[in-house]
Amino acid sequence: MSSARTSDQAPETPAARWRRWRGPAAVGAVLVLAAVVLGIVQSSANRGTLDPEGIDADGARALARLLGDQGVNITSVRTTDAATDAAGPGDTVLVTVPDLLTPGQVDQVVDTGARLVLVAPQARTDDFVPGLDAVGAGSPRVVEPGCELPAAQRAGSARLGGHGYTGTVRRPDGARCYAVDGEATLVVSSTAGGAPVTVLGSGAPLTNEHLDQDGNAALALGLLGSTDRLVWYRPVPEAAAAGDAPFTDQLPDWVRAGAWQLAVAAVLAALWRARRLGRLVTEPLPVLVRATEATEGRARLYRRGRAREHAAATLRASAVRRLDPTTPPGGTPPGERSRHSGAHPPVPDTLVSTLAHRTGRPVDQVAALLDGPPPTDDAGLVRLADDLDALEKEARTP
Amino acid sequence: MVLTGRTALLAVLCAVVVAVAAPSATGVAVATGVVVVAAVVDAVLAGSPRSLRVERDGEHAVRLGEPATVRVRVRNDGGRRLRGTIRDAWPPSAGATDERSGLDLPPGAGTQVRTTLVPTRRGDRHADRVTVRSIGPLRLGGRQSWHAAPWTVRALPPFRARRHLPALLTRLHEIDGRSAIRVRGAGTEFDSLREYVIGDDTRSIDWRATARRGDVVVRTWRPERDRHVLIVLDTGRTSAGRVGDAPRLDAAMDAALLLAAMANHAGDRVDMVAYDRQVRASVTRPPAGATLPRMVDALATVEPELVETDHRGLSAEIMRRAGRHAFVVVLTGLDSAAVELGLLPVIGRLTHRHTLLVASVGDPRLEAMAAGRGDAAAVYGAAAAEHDRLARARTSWQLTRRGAHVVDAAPDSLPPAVADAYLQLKAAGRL
Repeated sequence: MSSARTSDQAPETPAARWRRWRGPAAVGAVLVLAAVVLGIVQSSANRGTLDPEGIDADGARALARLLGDQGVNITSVRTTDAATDAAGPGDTVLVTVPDLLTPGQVDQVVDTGARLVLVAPQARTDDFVPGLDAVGAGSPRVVEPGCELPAAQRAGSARLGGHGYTGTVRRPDGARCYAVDGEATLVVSSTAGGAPVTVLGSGAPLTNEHLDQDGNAALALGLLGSTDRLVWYRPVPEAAAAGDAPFTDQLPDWVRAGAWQLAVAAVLAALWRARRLGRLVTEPLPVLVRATEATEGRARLYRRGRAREHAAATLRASAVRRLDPTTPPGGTPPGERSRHSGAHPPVPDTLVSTLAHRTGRPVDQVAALLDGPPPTDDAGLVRLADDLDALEKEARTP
Repeated sequence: MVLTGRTALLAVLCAVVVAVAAPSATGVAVATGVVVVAAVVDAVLAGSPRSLRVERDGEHAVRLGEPATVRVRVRNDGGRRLRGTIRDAWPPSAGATDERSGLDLPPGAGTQVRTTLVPTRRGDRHADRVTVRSIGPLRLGGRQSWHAAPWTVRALPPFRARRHLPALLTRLHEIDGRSAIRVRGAGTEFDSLREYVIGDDTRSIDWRATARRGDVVVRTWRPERDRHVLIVLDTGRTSAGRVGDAPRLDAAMDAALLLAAMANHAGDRVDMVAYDRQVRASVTRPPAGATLPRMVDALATVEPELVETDHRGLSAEIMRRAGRHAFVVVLTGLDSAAVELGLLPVIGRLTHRHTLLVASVGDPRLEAMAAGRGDAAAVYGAAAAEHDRLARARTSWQLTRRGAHVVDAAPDSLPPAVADAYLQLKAAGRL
């Protein structure tokens, strides 16, 4: 019975549907909008920061072109695997955001044995260069080199700052240059494997915005153009590779234990809710079909088949029967098909003349209405139905 | 073994304890072990739901739409206190509103749980299991089991048409001569003589008796009594069609019950049979005064069958049940070719011996469709509806021509229409 009731419900009006869905739609729209705004903000903030193809102020296309003109072969990579594949001893690897690397990835990059140039590392400084630590320095400004590093000497003053680095320099040809607020913002040292590392406190001298100022371009070329191959590594956060320790290893123990215990609680709650108080009780439901189902089906068939002739004949016959109840209803029994209006009994002449007399209409008109040619289009059929109604009404109210 | 929400809550609390005190796999294992053991021990300590004795009593039958109360009497035969929940399960159409209730029974104590049923469909509703869940003293775990406690509540036809009964009985009494008779010829059997009162038909004055008594005396007539009325319900596929909110069969039942009530009051004998290809329900020669209860009971479980009615068999069944002349009312559908192909060929035999009334449940929606105007879809609908109405009219005319009486009315007006036809035939002495 319930199924019958649902099918019986009135169709939902558009207004009701709108009322029902506007809440969820608003929530969805807000979510999408927030995602789009965040995406735009994120991309405008991050895209092109030292991107070798970036043409905005933070990009580094100018530098990449400059290096290319100098004969340096630049390989732009985004993943650690690609970087380690591309780089080897004797190459230079520029890491634009070293802090995005995990300690494992840092080890992979260091293990290539390539020269490293790190842009503004903070937390990972010690992983790249043991013994070196990042400290705060003043915002980037133009400073003098103040050291013996040939590249710095050639470049002269350059725009540096951001982070300074303290700690031991583990290389005879190491250097601390471009002190800002007393902290060296360009440090040359070496990795645990002995490969040279240049740590820059800021990416400012490499950007499109500042490349053409002071000695920035000379410094950048000196740092990055000393080898034939440059691997330009712009890291993205990567999922832990297979074999790497899962991220859960990095969680504190109490979080892990608590999570496991909560999972146990969830299982217990599921067991609690899953147990029914007795089985479901089923019952057979009666089949209920609307009694007019067949009639409505026939109406749709008429319409699809454009059975105007048949529909008009039926409407006329029923009008005649109502106007003249004494004539026995004839016609073919249901099931037998007949397309001709002759399936219904002919309209008696006396009925036509009586109707004409009562309604004051011409006999021809009444005869055409009751026994005329079938309408040629749907509009004609609708008109015929209305005309028959009008005739009946007139005949009933003298 | 069942768990409660407290078990899960305890496990959540344990998460805090584990995180603070013992953040390790061992800590988790120990905490979970404690929770599980506590739940199991609690379940063991709970009163045994099996040792509950379950009995039932309450109502066996109810009119559709009215509430019935069924009671479950429980008694704790176990040695422990039983605390928990009991569920008296019923099928959805039994309309049970308060299936679940709490239990708290010390050993040896008993209580009764009431379930109120408001059936939504006619027929027998069988109770399912009675499930008992017993929760332990800590309310962490418990045990659950079920008891079979069979019970059946029969939802009887509502007989909504009985509101027409008082008015119809008044008319019956008029015909019967118990009230002042205003029309002559109401009935054919001579009943008695009584004094003339103003308003009586002067033609009914018995002049011989008047001369003898010295007072104006009229004859009263009463209609024939002790006639046989056989009500036949067609439960074939046409009776399954839904008109308004209920199947045709329900309207036919209402009509059958109203007619039976009338005939009972008029002193006629009423039999009933529901038939499609076989007899689905039957009331034969009920004891005086028991006609309606018998019929209501018999009809309660009758459902429309999705088969074509065997009219030849139907006719044979009528002949078998009504040997001599009877008033036969066939409640069927007119809109079916089955009537023309099935009923028409056998109708001669029926009308030859009996007075036959064919009553059909019409559909007001058909009228609404036939009045459809305005656009092509509505007019095609109107044509289709007119096609059906013409077919019905033709069937009705053919039945009338073969000597049957035909009533075709909407579900609401069918019962009084059938009763009217019965009264008219009775008044005319044609039963």
